[in-house]
Amino acid sequence: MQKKGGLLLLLLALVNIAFAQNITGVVLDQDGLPLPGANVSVKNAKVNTLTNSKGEFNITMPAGDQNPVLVISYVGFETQEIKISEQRTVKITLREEHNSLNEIVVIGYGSVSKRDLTGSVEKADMDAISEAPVANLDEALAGRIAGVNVSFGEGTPGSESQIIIRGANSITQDNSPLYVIDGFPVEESMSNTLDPKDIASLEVLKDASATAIYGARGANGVIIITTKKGTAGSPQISYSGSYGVQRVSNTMDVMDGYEFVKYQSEVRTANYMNSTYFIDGKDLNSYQGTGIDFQDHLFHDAPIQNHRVSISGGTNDSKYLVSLSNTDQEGVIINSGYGRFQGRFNLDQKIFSWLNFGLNANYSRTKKYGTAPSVTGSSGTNSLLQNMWAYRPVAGNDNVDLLSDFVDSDIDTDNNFQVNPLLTAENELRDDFLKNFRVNGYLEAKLPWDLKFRSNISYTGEDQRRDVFNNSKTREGSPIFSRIGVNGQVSYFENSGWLNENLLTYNRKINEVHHLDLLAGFTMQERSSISNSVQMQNVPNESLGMSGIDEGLFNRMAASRENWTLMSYLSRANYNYRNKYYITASFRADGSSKFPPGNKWSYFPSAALMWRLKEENFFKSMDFIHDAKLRLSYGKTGNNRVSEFAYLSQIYIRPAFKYYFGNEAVSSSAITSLGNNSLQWEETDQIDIGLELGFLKNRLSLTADVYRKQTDKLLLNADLPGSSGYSSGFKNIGSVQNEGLELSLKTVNIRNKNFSWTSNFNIAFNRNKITGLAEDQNVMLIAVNSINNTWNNLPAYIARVGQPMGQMYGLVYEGTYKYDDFIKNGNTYLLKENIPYTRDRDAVQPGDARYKDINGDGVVNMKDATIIGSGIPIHAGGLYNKFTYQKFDLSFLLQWSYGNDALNANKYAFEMYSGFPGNKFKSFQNRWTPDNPDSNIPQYSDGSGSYYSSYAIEDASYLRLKTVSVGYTFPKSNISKLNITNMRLALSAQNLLTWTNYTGMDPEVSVRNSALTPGFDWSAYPVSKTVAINFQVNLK
Amino acid sequence: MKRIMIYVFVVMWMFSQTGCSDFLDTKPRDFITKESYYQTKEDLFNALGATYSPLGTLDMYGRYLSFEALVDDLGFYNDVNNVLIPQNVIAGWNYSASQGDVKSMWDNLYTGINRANELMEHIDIPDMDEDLRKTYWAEALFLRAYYHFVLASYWGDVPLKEAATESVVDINIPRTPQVEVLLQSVNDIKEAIPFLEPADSFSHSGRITKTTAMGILARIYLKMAGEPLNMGQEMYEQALFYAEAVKASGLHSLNPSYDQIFVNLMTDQYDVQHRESMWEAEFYGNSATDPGKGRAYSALGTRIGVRCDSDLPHGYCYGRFQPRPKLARLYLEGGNKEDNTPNDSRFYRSISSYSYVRSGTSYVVNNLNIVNLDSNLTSRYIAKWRRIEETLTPRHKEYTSANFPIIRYADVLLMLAEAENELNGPTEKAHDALNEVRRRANVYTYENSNPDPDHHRIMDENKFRKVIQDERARELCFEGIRKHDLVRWGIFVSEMQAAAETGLGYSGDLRTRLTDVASKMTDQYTLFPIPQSEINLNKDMEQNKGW
Repeated sequence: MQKKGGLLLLLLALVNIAFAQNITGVVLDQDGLPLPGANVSVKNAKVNTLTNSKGEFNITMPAGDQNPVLVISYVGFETQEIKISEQRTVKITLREEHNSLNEIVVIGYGSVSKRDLTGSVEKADMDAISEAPVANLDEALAGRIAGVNVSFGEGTPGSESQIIIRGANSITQDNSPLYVIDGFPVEESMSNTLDPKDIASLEVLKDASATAIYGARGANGVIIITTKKGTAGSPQISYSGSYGVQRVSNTMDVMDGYEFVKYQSEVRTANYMNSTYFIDGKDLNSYQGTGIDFQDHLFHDAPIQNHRVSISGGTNDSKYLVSLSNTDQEGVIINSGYGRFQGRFNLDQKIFSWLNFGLNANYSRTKKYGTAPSVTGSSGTNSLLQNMWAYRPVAGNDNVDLLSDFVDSDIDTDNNFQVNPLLTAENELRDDFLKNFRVNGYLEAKLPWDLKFRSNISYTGEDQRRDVFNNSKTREGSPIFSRIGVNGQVSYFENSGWLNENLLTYNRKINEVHHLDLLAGFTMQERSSISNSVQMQNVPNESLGMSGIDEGLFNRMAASRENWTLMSYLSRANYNYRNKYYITASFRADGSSKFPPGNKWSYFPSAALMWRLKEENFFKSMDFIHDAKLRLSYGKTGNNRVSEFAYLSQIYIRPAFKYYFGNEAVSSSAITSLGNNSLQWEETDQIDIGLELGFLKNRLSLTADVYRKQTDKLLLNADLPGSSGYSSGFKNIGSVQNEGLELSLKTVNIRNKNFSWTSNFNIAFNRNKITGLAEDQNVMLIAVNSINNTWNNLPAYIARVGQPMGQMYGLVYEGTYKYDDFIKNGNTYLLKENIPYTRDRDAVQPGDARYKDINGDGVVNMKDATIIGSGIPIHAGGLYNKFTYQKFDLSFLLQWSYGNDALNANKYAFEMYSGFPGNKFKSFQNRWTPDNPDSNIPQYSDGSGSYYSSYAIEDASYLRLKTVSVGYTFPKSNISKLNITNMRLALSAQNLLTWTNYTGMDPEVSVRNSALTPGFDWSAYPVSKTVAINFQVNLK
Repeated sequence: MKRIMIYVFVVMWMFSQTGCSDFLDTKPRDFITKESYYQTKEDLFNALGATYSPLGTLDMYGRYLSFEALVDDLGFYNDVNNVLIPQNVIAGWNYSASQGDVKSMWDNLYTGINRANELMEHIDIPDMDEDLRKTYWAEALFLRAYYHFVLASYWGDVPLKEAATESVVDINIPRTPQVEVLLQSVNDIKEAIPFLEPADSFSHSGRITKTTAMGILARIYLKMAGEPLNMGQEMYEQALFYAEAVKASGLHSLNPSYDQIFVNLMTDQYDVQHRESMWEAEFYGNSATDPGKGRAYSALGTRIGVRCDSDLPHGYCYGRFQPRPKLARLYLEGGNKEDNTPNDSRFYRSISSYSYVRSGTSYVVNNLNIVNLDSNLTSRYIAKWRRIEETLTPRHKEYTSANFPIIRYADVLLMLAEAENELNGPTEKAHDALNEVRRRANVYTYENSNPDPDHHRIMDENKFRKVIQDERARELCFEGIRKHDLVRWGIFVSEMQAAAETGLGYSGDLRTRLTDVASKMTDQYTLFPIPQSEINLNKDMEQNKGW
């Protein structure tokens, strides 16, 4: 019997062999064009193949399958299954996928399909992002993803934005997320080392379930960037290029020649006027229609261009991609700009059936140049735009050439360090070169028992050189102002790091019911930095520039060597039951050299539950609901962003401590910073509840998340009182809470043969609250560098327990003192008894600035300062719409921020009297004068003092048409004869329109950008609007 | 396959084993840690240098505490623009608690105190000569006391720090009453004196010596004797005791040439014969010859000095400080020749007899006539520090290497006379000390043998006090002591108001310069405001009255 049975089986097999058949076919897209590299497999069998360059395939059906089913899948298209009955050749047309749940999402140390995602992870729409005519990814990211706040502070070309995910956790330390670029975690944004078009996918990990696998560095969220890889098929050559023009989006109205002279005649002595302006028979009217607006000369229309070429291809066993890209951007301020050259190589190679090898190398070289306009010195006349606005528009003497004279002959150079802003921009050499090299290699082995082992070794090297040269036509190098003459400085920074990751994964399905996915890993990382710089002074041959600095005198040299190490164990388990109930748990242990012995190790657990409601029977019947899932997660993450040895008291021998006994130097040594032996990680606990719904075949999908983050043991570089003998020290103190709601809604509004309209809307509300500060400290006051030495020391922001970070602090402005407030006594005005005053009661005059006496003691001083604004928005978001009509497409992104204020410090200097010499904004003409006694702009010689006040706090809410793109894709039928697979022409624009009530140059401004000091406007690099033409072609 | 598995696990295990022990154990390569320092006597000496170094900065005797913050009844700040800009310049007396210079002066002093405390706390570590160890310790203790004394003089009640700051957490320190700070300073200095070196063991005036410490003690006792503490007779007794101890040491005498004192300061020379300049804040080099020292430079001669807009040949000088007419009158009344030509050798050292005027592209010396003093007031400058005497090259626009005399023997003599007068009236001893100073200045002495009855020995204690007050003005003007003298004599506000009134006789900018600052002096200005940053960060801190 047994034998018979065996025979029967053999026979059956033979029959089946007879049935085994070769199927050939072709896979096409909706346009009828072949899809090379599509995966063709047989359901429930280990047989698969890829289509060739003509989209054709040939597959041998395994014997014994009664109802064989072919599964055809291709990234970006809906997977199709077809039953094979008699036919030997098939023609399959794949439909493009819209918002599919099968989309692969990269998560930490792995990837999952969107359907199985248990945490809050959002994948950016890179197609939409790369429409923006910008040089760097950051600039296009704002408004795309709920809860991801991008602030670029000012418009300097090539500068990196600060990205904050779900509100700032840390009070003084860096709040930017961890970036993981092709698996390499870096704590500083490296996005400007990549052409945005080289990015295949960008994922943002938001909740703790997603980020806890990055442990000590996950608290600020994680951005995972994966670059493009080759796909199997014949070589594909692709070129994309764009050329655009940028223009400063807004300028300020400053007084013209007539207005300026009129103003001078009102405030200066007749003697001065008669010798300066009313000369050579000129009177006030002679100045009608005169005057230089320096903004017309300092700003210009600047080109931006980008070109990228890539070649990719390969076989199933060997895939490659090579790309080269070049970006060149001039800034809207003359003699400033940014450039990048980048080359990349990517290889995936199968060595044995069970062993894969891959290599990914990226080299980029960037150059930033141009002076930084918002930098301030001790004098108020150091910032470039300040200098520009204050420059007088007209000189009385016809021999004075304001445009080309280095120093205006009218100024007193002892106190006024104003120099010609055009010459400043032209002559201040500020070059910043960065060379970044990154290489990742991996080996991946399939092991028995469904195990997989992967080992990555990565290296990153970064060489930076900064050149600073001040020739005699710069403030810092001119004999008039400089203490050290013509000078130059060269600085080298060398950062390098290596990373080794060893990961073991186990993936097993049991009876189609239990699905288990395990990960365990061990990683080691080291980063070293070296910096050297030397400054030379009194350089004799300034025409030689940087190469001539060796002829000067030595000024100073700096050198440092630092390194840190990190060692981690990580593990994660994903389990789901019938794709219905999911559980994810992760655990990471991190050991860091940055903390003192005993505090080096810390542990970061997380867990998430997910329930796919749609799989429940009662939901299955509801056809209009395509998908429904509910997520809950909790986890702990950390922040380790302190300098390498912040825990140690550091002793240095520095020239500044040098002392002399009888003219003989002592190599004086002193403790420069106070260590803290109990320093440890900052910890963030986060809970997140998420709901994801898809309706009408996912034409409408909604994601909603609510979260609460509690950050404790904040790493705070706390200011210390002078009486301690130190200026600041690191502590683990204070706590911050962030809670919020994020909504994203993706809709396919219209989709038919010729026309489609899709929308993507997101909005995020975040509420930030400081729940504790140092010890029993209740308040922290923060001063920022701004107008001059005095203002630099005035607190402009306050952090108070129970309140959000980033609140502006100062006096409440109440307009000017009016005549009614005084008793007139002859020619003098004496303030009435019950009216508060800022200085001596006797000194207050009508037209002086009046502030609110909050504590009611009759005197206005810093005791009356209060919260006068908030730099944090109530909500922010974006709305992206895309229309396609046949081969035309139109898309635009609206981005907004609502409820945030800006502190417009320019207003204190240019609309109020501040002792500042020079020109003012046009609005200053409306100041208080005896003829204009109702004005609330203080009079010219107001002596009430320097205070940050509500006078210059403005609502900086805005709605911006961030990106617009109109494109035409050439019909494939026309171009395929030329071996062109894709060709597209587009016109795109960035920052085209902004709706705001803010009176400064740009509402997004934040020149002292940090969690504590958002929205500060002082001489910011202007934001530009860009219009560009783009061309893209793919050849085969 | 299995082999690979084993390899994988072995690799992972190996990493984890080696890693734990030393992978995370990085060592700083850029600095020395506190724990590994203070191991040799050289380490201690270097730490001692850093304890002295706050003296040699712009925040202390390079600029602010030598002249800029001390505009008084003898001089005025002439930059009218800056006087009018609120809070801009500390010399304009219109600062507030958030003014940056107020903070940097305060922070600098506490930095010095902390360094002194650190040094004393680590003094026992190295193997070294015990006497040397004791000397370093005594110098650190003295400096800590001195910094506290300066703080108490300028700010009143201040935190008293007798231990180094150990933790970033314990930073709230309440103010200690001024009198207790001063008493602690006095006790510390007395404790240090036995271990300090005598003045003749150094060939310069940079280190603290026994007699320096005694002179400073006399100064602190006089402060405690005066306003507002009025601690009585015992304070005068102590002041007299220490002033006499300095005299009795025989190590100090007056340099016969008043000019030479300042020439020495300007040229980095030391007078080891007389040692009149007992203790100097040392400055060396400018930012061209010794770059990179941050604030460790001297502005003596560039901010204060005879104005010159051109670098050559006299040296650039802002000339921001000018004498008031009062000082010139004091010299004229104090002993000039019958025809009012100057006789007092201090006159033309303190008030320039010349100015520089532009002649084409260069500058020439313009000699000024003393007779019409008032009319050429605007051309006169405070001239104790003169760049024309500077020997350091290359010259630098902003900085010189001029030293500052913290205490001179002439001051000790006048303190002796003053204390003696307060205790015993205008005795022979008091007269001798006063006359020694006057004799050197080449002016008449107060003696019975003097043919002019006005210049006879002074019999009235009050009159003698007034003479001492004026003599201190003539001898020590612009040496950082006048304001404190006025305060302890209780005449700060009245003298400043009187100085303001003299400006009323002038017109225009000069009138503004002479009157604006002085006229707003009230008791509030006897003390600086506590820096706003200290108020913000030190929970136990309170602001001074009126600020």
